[in-house]
Amino acid sequence: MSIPPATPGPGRSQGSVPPELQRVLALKRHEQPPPGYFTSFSGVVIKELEDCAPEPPPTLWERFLATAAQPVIACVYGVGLGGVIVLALSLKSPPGPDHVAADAVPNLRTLLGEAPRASKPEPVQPQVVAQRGPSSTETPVIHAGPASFRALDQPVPALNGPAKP
Amino acid sequence: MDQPDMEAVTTRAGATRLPPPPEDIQQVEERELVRRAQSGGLAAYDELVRRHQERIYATLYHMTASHEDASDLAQESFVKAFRSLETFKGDASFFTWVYRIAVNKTINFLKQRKNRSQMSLNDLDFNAENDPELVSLVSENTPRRDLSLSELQEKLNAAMLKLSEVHRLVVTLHDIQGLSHEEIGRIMDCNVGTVRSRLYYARQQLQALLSDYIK
Repeated sequence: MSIPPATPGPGRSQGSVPPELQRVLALKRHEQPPPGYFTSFSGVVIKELEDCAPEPPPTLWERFLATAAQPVIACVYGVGLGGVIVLALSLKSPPGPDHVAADAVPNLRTLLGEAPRASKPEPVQPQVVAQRGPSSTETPVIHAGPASFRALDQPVPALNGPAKP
Repeated sequence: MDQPDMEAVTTRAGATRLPPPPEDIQQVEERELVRRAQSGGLAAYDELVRRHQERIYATLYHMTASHEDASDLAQESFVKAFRSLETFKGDASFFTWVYRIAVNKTINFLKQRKNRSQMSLNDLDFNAENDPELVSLVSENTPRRDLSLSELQEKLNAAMLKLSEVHRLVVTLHDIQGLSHEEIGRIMDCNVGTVRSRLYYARQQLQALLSDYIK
């Protein structure tokens, strides 16, 4: 090992160092490692670098397995997965009790031998349509029901009685 | 007429550009070595280690007062430096950068082994016995005249270990290694004023601790 220079460096303020202390500290520069230590030092460093070459980065699956192996992380994964399952089941769950009863009635009737009740047609409100034409200029045309296009072409008797020829 | 200087380069404008000084050449070489090492070149890194191993080891040895610890820490520091080379941007010199890694690693190590103060000192070299200053130190200036150099070495290292890590580091870098305040500031990541005040305090402490052995 080459001994560092005993003379102060460029930024060194020798004046402020007590001279006795300076001389004692100079003793430290004579402490030497075993002979030949530095001839093999860099070789040891390089060998360590060669031996411990960095491994290829782990894949996502390997990272997952590595983290999942820890109990806490495994618990977190478990709770998360359970939460997702519960959420999925709640979204897919059957309708509420009202819907269940309503749907159950026809089935019940079938079981009891009754014919299923036909649904009542909604009452159709008569509609008054103003008809434009030469024979009934101001006479309103009254028709009921959806198939009333034909009635539009024929004159409709007046409301107070049948028309006399 | 004399032969023109072969090293000088004449520019197109006719001005002569002198070759860069040796320190600059070394820095350019070092930058090239760093660049090759960053690309994975172990041969280039081997050269960088050879350049700085002695100073790094010596600093760590003076910090730990143990050859084995200093050796392990120096190796680990160089290994860590190689693996972190991609983060080295070249703002500071490679030397300062490696020093910083080694010093931080050593301070962490010393904090962990706080209660252990076992020393494993290196032998003094042959020059120590023949250094008139050191010989006179133990024969004339020391109140205890029977103190040998190796005993003084032990007392000095024990006193150094009583300093805090940062105070020991600043004494090591400045008074033993001969680094400038500015360099120490860059390594320790503090300003020059802090370096000076730490140095002053560390010397005061050392003098008090060694008062029995020096005048």
